[in-house]
Order: sequence, then structure tokens, then C-alpha cells
Amino acid sequence: MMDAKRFEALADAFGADVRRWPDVERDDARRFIDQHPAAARAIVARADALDNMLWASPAPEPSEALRERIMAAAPGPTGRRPSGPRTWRWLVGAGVGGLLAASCALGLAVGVAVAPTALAQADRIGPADPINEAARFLREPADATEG
Amino acid sequence: MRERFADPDEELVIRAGRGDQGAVRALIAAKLPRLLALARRLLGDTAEAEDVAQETFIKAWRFAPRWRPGEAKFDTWLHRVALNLCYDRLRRRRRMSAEPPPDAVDEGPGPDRRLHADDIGRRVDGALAALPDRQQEAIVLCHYQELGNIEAADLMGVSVEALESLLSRGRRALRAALADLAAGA
Repeated sequence: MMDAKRFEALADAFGADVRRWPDVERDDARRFIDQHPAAARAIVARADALDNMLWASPAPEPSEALRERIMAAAPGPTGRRPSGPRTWRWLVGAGVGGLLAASCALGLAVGVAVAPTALAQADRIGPADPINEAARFLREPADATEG
Repeated sequence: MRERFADPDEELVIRAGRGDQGAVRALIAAKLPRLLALARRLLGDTAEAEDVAQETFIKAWRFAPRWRPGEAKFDTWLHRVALNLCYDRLRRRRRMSAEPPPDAVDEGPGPDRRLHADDIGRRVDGALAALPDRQQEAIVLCHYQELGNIEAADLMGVSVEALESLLSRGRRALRAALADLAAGA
């Protein structure tokens, strides 16, 4: 059987509306109200005052622009895939892939053209060397696809 | 075997996943205000809340064609996604600055200031934003989003008893912070 202390604890936590209290305690709470109407009324009134005050916090109204952006990203009638971050990731990935392919082709061409000289000067190749730069780029493409 | 529960959104989600524009519009109409309100109250910033709502829907659209009825309620799933996006933003914000959120200003009533509905709303928002994060989340989920205690506790990853404690402490703090409004009502 529920006592006043438990009834008050529930009202303090879940507010005045008994329908929002835990399922398993609702029947006991209703019995408490029937048996102790005055005490229950005082406790519920106190919780109700706070509930009403909390509802003064305004809920924002979604703008038409936001609705349209969300609508535009939705699946289309013919199975069009939603646009959004994944599409962007695919595009960025494709761009990086293209860049990598171009870099490889450029690197191969440069390698063929300068190989004899580069091999001869291998000990003197520093970080600013174009082949080293291309190699570094090839090692670090993953960062460009994240985010 | 898991018990099959009724999900009021099930049919709409399945239709939206097939590209039914009426179902898409109905889901936006039903869920967008709720998600926007959730994010606005947790983040205290309307623009960020709009970003969270939009990102949540983009994930939902991607998820809808693969929706398996009975695994989770769609509304709970949406709340989980939106909450996680809010947590990410709050974590980033904490790392960047210790400043309070931009819209969450609790100015207090002032000696001769008449309180209008907007003022009261701002006071409540300010008091809510001043609560410890977990108490604020508990109140937003249970009071404003009107989720059941089991659902809210599950979303927050706490027991039902812990949720009740968070709600009690949060509401007590709000009652104290807004005592002057209650007295003047």
C-alpha cells in the first residue's frame, strides 16, 4: 500500500499527472487519492504549479526552410537515395581517388623523366623533393575523407 | 523470443522507406517539432538544434528502407540519434569553452520588472540550462518529450530508480530557482 511519503516522492519526480507516473505504481497511487483526497490534492497542486511553469518554456516552431531541407533529403518515389553526408563523403572520396590517380600518373611520368638523375643523386634527396612530396601525399590521403 | 510491441509509426516508416512522399511529409509533421524542441532545450541554441534535427532525419531516411518492425520504436530510435548528436555537440562545446550556451540567459526578474509570458519562458529556459546535464536531460525527456520512465531511463542508460532521483533533484532545483514566479502567480 502506498503512503504519503511515496506519493509525494512520485509527484516530485514525475509531476502532477498520475498517468505519467510509473505503470507499476499507478493503481496504488489512485487508491491513495481515493483514501486520502485532501493530502493527495495538496501534493498534486504543488507539483502542478511547477508543471505549469515549465510549460512556459516555448517550443520552437520548425521553419519552412528546415522542413524543405529535410524533405529534399528524403527517399524519392523511384527509390532515389537521400542526399546528405554520405553523398558528400562519396563525392569527396571520388575526388581524392581522382587526385590520387592523377598523382600516380604524374609521379610515374616524373619518375621516368628524372630517374637517372634522381638515382644518381639519391643521397642528396631532401624533404622538398617532388617525388618525396608525392609519396607523402600518397601516404596521407585518408584524412581528406574524414569529417 | 522478444515480445513484439506496437509501434504507432511502423506503417509510416515502411512507406517512407519506399519513397512514399505522403508518409515522408507525415513523419516530418509528427516528429520534427518534437526533435527540434528536444535539441533546442538541451543545446540552448536554435541554429544548432535545427542542424541536429536535420541530421537526425537524414539518418532516419537512410535507415527507413531497412526498418525492421518490432526491434525498436521509431520514436525512441529518433530520440536516441538526436540525443547522441546533442551529446557530441555538448562535448565539443565543453572542450572549446566554459561559456554558457548562447540563448540560455537567466536574467532574473529585476525589482520592478513585470513578467510577461516571454520573460517567464526565458526564466524557465535559463533555470533548465543551469541544471546539471543529467538532471536537465531527465526533465527534458520525461516532462517535455513525455516519454515513459522506462523509455527515458533506457535512453539515458540509467536505472528507473536513478531516473527518478535525477527528476526529483532537477525539479527541486527548478522550484527553488523559479520560486519568485510561483509566488507572483
